[in-house]
Amino acid sequence: MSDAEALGRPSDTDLVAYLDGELSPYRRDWVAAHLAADDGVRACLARLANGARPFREAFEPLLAQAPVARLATMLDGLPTYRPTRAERRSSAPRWPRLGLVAACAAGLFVGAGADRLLVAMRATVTEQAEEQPDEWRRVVAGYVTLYTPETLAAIPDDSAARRRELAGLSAKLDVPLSAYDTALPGLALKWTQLLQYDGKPLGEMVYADPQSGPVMLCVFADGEADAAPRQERRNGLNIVYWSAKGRAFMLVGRMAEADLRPLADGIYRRLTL
Amino acid sequence: MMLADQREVRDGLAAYLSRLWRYAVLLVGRHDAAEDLVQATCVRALERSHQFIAGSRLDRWLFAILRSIWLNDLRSRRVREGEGVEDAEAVLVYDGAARIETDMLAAQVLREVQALPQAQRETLFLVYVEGLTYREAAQLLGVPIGTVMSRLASARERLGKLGGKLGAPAEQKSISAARPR
Repeated sequence: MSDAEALGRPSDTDLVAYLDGELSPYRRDWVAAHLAADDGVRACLARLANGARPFREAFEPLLAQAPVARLATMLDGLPTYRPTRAERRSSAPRWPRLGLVAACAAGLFVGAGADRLLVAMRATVTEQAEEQPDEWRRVVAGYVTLYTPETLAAIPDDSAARRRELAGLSAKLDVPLSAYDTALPGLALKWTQLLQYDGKPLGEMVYADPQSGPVMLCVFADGEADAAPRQERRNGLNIVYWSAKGRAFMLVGRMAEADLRPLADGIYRRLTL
Repeated sequence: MMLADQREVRDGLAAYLSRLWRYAVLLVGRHDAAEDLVQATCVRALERSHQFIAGSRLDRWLFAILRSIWLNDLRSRRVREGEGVEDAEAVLVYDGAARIETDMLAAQVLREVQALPQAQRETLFLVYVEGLTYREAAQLLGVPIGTVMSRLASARERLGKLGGKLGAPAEQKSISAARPR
C-alpha cells in the first residue's frame, strides 16, 4: 500500500495493527483520525475486520483432542526427565535439594567428619517442598542436625580464608558480611557455604560453640517483607529469625534460647539496622 | 544438581504438552507426526534446559524449539513451503460424534484457516490463537514485524472475502481488538 503511505493514509498493516491493539497511542490516534474523516480508510478497515473469526474458540477442540496421556507417558519415559510422581506419593518428610551454587575456596569440607556430612547432604531427596515463606527454615534446621562438633573440629582455623569467603557471600547476597558484622563472641567461624534454595541464594556461616556444638547463621535472599526478630524451635534446635530489605536471616543451634537471643540481637543490630 | 531453570523446564513441559501438540499438528498436518515432533521437542528442551532463563516465557521457548526441529526436518525432506496442504477434514477438524452448531462453526473456521498459505496460517495461529504479540511472533518466526503484520492483513483480506461478519463502516466507533493476551 505504498500509495496510501505516500498520501499519509493508514496502510492495511496499520489497520491490522489497529484492530489488534498493537499500535502506539500516537499511531492509534492517527489511524482513528483518518477513520473519522475518510470513507476509503473505513472501507479498508471493514474488509479487514470481516476477516476476523473466533480463531481461539475454533482451535480449542483441537487442544482437547491432544493425546495427553500418551504424551505424558512419553515424557515420563525420557531418560533425561526425572518424574517426581513416585516421590510425591511418598509421605516421608523430604528435604529439598540445596544446590551448590559456588564452592568457597575453603568451603569444601576437610577431614573425615566433613566427608560424611557431604555424603549425607548428597543423599537427600531432590523433591522441592511446598513453597511457604518459612519452608527454608525448616529445611536448614534439618540440615543443621547433621552437623556435629567433630565435623567442625576437623576444619583448621583460617581467618584469612573466612574473610575471603565472607566477601564472596556478601557479593552474592548483596548484604554486608564483614568479619566484624558476623562475629559471635566466644564462637569461632569455622566455614561458610553458598547454596541456593528455590533458585535464590542462601548463605551459611557455621560457628563452633564448645558447649552446645555448631551454630549457624543463614542469610536467604527470598525478597520477603521486613519482620522483627522472632523465636521458634525445630528439630530440637532453637532459632531466632528476622527479615530486612528482602533478606531473611536465621541464627540456629542447640544453644539455649536465653543464650542464643543476645547473639541474634547483636547480628540484627550490626547487619540490619 | 538441578538449578531453578532446569526444574522450571522439567515441570513446565508436562503442563504444555497439549499446546505443543496442537502447534505441531498445525505445522506438520498430521496427528501421528505431531506426536513425534512433540517428543523430539521434549528431548531437546531437556538437553538445553540449562539455556532457559528462569522466569522467562517457557511456552515461547518451547515453541521455538519445536519450530526449529520442524524446520530442519522440512529442509531435510526438501518439502517446499506452501506444498502438500493436507486435507483439512483429516487434520484440523474436530472429531466429535455429535456435530452441534458451534462445532460446525469451529469446523468452518478451521477449514478456512487450513486453506490459507502456510506462512499466513502459522502467523495467524500464533497471534490469534496462542496470543503472541507481533514482536514475539516475529522473533519466533524469524521475520521482521512488518512481515507478521502483512501476513495477518493478507489472511484477513482472504477470509474477509469468504464471508463472515459484515462490518458497519458507517459507524465511527473504535473497533476493539478481539485478541487473547
